[in-house]
Amino acid sequence: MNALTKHYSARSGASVRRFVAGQGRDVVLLHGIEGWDRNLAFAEALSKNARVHMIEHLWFGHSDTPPDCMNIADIAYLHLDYLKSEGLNDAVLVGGNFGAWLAAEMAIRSTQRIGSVVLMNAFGIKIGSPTEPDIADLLQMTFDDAMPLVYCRPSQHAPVIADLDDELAAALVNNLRAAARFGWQPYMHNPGLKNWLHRIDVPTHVVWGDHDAVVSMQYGRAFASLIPGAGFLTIEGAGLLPQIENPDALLEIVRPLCRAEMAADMPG
Amino acid sequence: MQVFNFTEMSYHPAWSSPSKELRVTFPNRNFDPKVGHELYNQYLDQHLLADELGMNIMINEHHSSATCLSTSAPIPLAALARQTRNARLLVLGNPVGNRPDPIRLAEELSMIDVISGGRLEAGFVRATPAEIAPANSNPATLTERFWEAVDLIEKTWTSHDGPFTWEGDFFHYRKVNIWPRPYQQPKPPVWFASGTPEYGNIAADRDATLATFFSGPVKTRDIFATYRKRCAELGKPDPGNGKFGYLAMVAVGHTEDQAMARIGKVMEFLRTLGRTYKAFNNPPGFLPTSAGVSAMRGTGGPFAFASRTGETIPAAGATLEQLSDAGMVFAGTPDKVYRQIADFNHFVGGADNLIMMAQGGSLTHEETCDSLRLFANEVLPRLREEPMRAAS
Repeated sequence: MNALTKHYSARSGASVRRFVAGQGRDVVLLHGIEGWDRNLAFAEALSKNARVHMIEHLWFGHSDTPPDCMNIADIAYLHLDYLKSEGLNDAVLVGGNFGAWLAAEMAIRSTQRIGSVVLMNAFGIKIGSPTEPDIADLLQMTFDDAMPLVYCRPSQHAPVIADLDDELAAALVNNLRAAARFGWQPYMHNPGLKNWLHRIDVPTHVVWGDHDAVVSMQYGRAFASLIPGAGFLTIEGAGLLPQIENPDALLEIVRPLCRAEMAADMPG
Repeated sequence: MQVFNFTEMSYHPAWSSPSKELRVTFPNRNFDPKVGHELYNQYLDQHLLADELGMNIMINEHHSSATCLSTSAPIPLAALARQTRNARLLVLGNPVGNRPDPIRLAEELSMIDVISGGRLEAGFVRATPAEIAPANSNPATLTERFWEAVDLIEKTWTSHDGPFTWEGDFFHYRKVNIWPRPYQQPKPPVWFASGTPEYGNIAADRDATLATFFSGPVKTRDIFATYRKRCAELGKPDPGNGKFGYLAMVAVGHTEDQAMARIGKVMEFLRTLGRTYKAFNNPPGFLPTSAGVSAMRGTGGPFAFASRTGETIPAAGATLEQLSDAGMVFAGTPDKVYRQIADFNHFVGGADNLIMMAQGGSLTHEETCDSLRLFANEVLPRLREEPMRAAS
């Protein structure tokens, strides 16, 4: 069976793209503004050690665009519904940037089906003063200006617009549209989120690409400090997207979480 | 024909700055308030002259830009409502999708309508992309927010029996009951500006007046035709020519050379169009996906317009004949300008509203006033007599 099962029917019949593959502990990947397509390689790699699920958020890429899906809470409930409908009871959530914000929004609502959370270069909270932006304004930057902030090695890892076929180019444009829809104002954060991060009562790891020029390491540490018991780890040679720039280091962090659960599940 | 005098109220003295950008990021230390004071008053005086000369007035609005000092259309409109006597006062338009409070705008426009004795023409625009950053409005939901705001304002103007509630997707009020209500009943005439035929349908559905800005002859003709066709489909009376307008740069001179020198200054405006950081011209979600892909790939190209034969002509380097043929510019002696307008008007199927950008760029106050007088005295009477017959 092709790992890429074309679609998952979400709320109200809205359809989203879905990747599901592998055996073992359920890992739910939550993509960020880089989009679903850019995470397929990491999803494939991780599926050698876990059962990996990655559905594309509504409005992103080539998923449906229901008009009443208005904010990040709507996306959080989409994924919580997914956990329920798939019968996942102890899933590892792994999210980056917007997807990390989303993971936090899910986990403050309910960790009933969530066993562990990995937040990579997360968006979602406000720590600076009103005149100190915490998150670089990627949505009001040209592609060329944004890439050196996003990537540690843009010449190796940034997509080349001219090389994208029509489908990938449309997905990229739609990803940015979705990022704006859900994160324009307040920009990429929910002012109320940090008041509820204490509700995340499962093991949580905040991981950070050490060359991220979009959200600082200081921001990452502040995020981790708001989640009880959360650890903070850095990934070398990566910017905003460790899963693309240093996937092996990220796999080393995520794999033990999968093993831990499998061991616990073993009888006797 | 109704003619509306228009100026972007630019702060052109700063255009000589080496800055690549004039919008959003251009520091306001480049604005000298004393110079600005002179310019504001000159622009308002030009509108007063237009009123004296039997012309109407159009006001627009832009933000964070050296290309337009009118940052809140109701402010110049308020001054002009009091100081003019006869001119219709058109705002085209209010960027209501970018304004946080449509009720406040409904009140302001109502006041202007009452003070002016019912001379307001209320236009609404979705706004240009570079307006997103100053407003920090969400580009991905702008269209929906825009139409909700227009619906709310129209309801506000036509509700007279005490408070109503509005709990929409974007705007929420529990007691809407504006004072004053508009002078014109049931409401001031509503205008839209657009360069796409779908607006022909929308404007026809709403009985609104529809104007095109630099859309070129073919698109303009198609948009107006769409409107007429829609009226026929809906069983509405033929809209005639009164529901249509277009905007062009206009300069009249006593001699051809003088007119050319004047329009050259007005057209400096075109050279400011590229002076915006590219990302502000393509905010995410502002364009439909396919257009967004073209913009991302940079295949959209520089500012261009279409000729009558559908040919694409880059604005930079276009000849005056090409610009006039495309309805971008009407310039010359009064005779020539009359013929150009009548001819364009004929091509697009008839439009009774000409919005003329008579002041633009560094065209001086004196030059603008002279051009306006020549237009009012020697062009306008002929356009009012029989523009279509003369064109055919």
